[in-house]
Amino acid sequence: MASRFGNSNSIWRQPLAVVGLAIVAFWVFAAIFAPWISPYDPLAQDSDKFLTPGSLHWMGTDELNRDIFSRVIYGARISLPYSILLVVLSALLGSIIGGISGYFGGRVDAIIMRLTDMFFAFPAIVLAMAVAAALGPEIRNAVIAITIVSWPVYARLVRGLILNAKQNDYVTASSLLGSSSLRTLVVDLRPNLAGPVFVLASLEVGNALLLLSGLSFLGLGAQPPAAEWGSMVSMGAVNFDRWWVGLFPGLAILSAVLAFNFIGDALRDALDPRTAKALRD
Amino acid sequence: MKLTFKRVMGIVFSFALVSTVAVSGPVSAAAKTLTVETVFQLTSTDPARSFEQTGNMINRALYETLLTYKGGDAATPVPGVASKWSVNANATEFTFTINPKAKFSDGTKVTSADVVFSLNRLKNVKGNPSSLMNGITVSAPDAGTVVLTTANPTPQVLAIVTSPALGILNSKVVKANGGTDAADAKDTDKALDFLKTQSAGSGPYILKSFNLTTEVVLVKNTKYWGTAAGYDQIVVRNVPVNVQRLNAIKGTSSIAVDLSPDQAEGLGSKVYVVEGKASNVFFLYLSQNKDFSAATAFTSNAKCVEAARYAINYNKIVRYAGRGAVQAPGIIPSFFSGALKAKDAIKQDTARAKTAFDACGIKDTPVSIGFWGDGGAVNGLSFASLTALVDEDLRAVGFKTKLAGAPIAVSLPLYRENKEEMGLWLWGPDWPDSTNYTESFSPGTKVGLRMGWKAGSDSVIEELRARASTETNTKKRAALFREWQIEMNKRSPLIPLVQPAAIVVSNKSVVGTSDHPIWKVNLAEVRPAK
Repeated sequence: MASRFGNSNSIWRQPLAVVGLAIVAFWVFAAIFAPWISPYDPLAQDSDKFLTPGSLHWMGTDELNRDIFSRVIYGARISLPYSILLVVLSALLGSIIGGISGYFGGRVDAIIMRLTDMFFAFPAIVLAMAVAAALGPEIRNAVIAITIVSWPVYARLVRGLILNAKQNDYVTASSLLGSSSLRTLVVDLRPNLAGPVFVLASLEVGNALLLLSGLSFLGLGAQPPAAEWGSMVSMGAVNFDRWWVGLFPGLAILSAVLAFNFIGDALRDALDPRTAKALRD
Repeated sequence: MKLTFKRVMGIVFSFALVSTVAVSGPVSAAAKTLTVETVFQLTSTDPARSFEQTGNMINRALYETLLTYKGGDAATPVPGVASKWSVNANATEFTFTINPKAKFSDGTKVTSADVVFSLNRLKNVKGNPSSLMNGITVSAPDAGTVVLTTANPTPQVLAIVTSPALGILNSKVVKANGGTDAADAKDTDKALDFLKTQSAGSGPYILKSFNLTTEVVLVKNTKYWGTAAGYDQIVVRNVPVNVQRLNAIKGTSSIAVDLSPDQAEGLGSKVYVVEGKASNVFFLYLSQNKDFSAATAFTSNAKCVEAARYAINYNKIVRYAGRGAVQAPGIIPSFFSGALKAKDAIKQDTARAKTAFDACGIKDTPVSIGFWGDGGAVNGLSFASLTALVDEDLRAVGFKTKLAGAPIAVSLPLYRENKEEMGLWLWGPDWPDSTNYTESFSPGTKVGLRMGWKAGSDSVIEELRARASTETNTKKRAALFREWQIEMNKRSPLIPLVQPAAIVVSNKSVVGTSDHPIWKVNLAEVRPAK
């Protein structure tokens, strides 16, 4: 039997997926080896302000005389791990809530689903802004804020999968054999969830990165002087005729989001061919 | 030629198009509407409750004060509603004669009763600007005379009465809409909402609409008793700095208020750039409230303050602030009496800072710096960027700083309630006189308390403050202000950083734009270019 990664839907056969993987690999490499790659300390204010891109400063300098290339490289150390962290947290939280909702059904299900409806009713960025403002502007609080607004999508997915899977005979048999609800959920039902949740999570990393950068852009995420792509774009927006200040961190966000979306699409094709086919049709 | 339906429609359409272009040309509509763009610092258009720059600018056009200033001057008062005034020998009694021509926008005369009502209401609503009336009693011997008295010599009263917060309201109209000047006005005055929908003043403009987040629209007061307003309508819009710059380049705005020197470069040929020194001074302070947190147990230590004071690279901050900015040698801006000279300014001394840091004992205790964080910027200078500059220098001598910027609605109350460990803020004058600084930054005063610096903390500085507030001789006053600042620079928790340049950009279609320390732009003086 061909492995999932070796069948006709293998992500290795999809050029966009390979491009996505290459870009993500580049940013992961940049994040890990930032101190060796960056020519300058990302916080050092010892140059001249608004130098145009050149041989000394490949991406120019910002209004505080800092090297933008070094800051873009160091920015990967905040944007990537925090985006992945908040997707993992959202997926965990959403899966647990969705699992409880789908498995127990009845009033529990009704209450949880109305709660998710409430979250869906608000635009995610507005809700995240409100939560971040209430908790205080900090990257950690921004992650909490985005997690709070992102879990419902996983809860909906997992609930649907559980409702489907719990009809299976082996689940009924497990229950009849005396398995506890927790055991049934974790041992019998969890394997049905892993693939779709993983696919959704991989598609959501790009969104998470955008939301996180958006909060930092608004001053509600990473705090200065930290090098974070969203806050760097914000500085570029204020100095919009110094095009290099906002362009390069903007391109960093664009490339990373695109890459995660390419990978997410490819993973969906590989792990969830039914959805992929439905989307293609 | 046969007139078909299509041809008739073609002619009608062409005629309509030509008419539209002709009517919407720059001469007719645009010439009579002034568009002012600024980042709103605004709470209301009630003079007794508004104390922010945008509010001052708007209220200066809606309400008149007993005295005022012309253009960018803030030294020589000129008649406002009062045509004459006199001061007794020891500066405790100030008598104003109301101009008999002065009338409100509804056509009724301005009387001394209106002045008494307005000033007492300001005092009693206990709003942010109410402190301007501290120690001042107002009375009206007759319908055309107002007397302000103080217990101690207070020469700055003539400057205080120019503040838009002391704007004269039509007492009958305001009373009819819930206003009161009673001692309990803080709880019983209900005119705030009314004064956000209508104005009740004697200025050249009246309020048409008020929106706290988007725009405030003023229209011409057709019954104005002085020189008629230059525009039929003024629209003051809340616009981010980068968009202000873009609109100035495109020529779609009349006046842009908040650009920095860097942003005012390369604006093209459609605008004038009015450049001067801002009245704002950015400063850093260290909380003296030693019980507030683990960090403030140390920041309240004089050695910690000394370490911070000498750690900062002031030249770097001035470079960031751009052309026209200067290091603030003291908290009093350069154009006020007793301002310190550049030679008096603190110079960075890293060795001294490190020695003081070691003596202070804070070691690895983290200390946060509060500031206006959600893109807050004044005079084009971002609080976040300024704090990042200071942060690097403080870290270099050993402080374990953490930046704690927050939206203004969150950060400002923390500052005002002395709930910060360190803070980076600015001060713009409430009235154009150096006593505004001695009365606001000394121990036990408004900002003094925000820094946790209680009365009795420094007898030398407090004595200098008391002497400066009652001195009537101009030269002696200036000397006292200088001495007060020199002592402040030695021992206060306040570290003045930078006095930025003030930039006002105006389209060449308007004239009369100047930069003023209190109301930024006097909208009443702005007129269409001939």
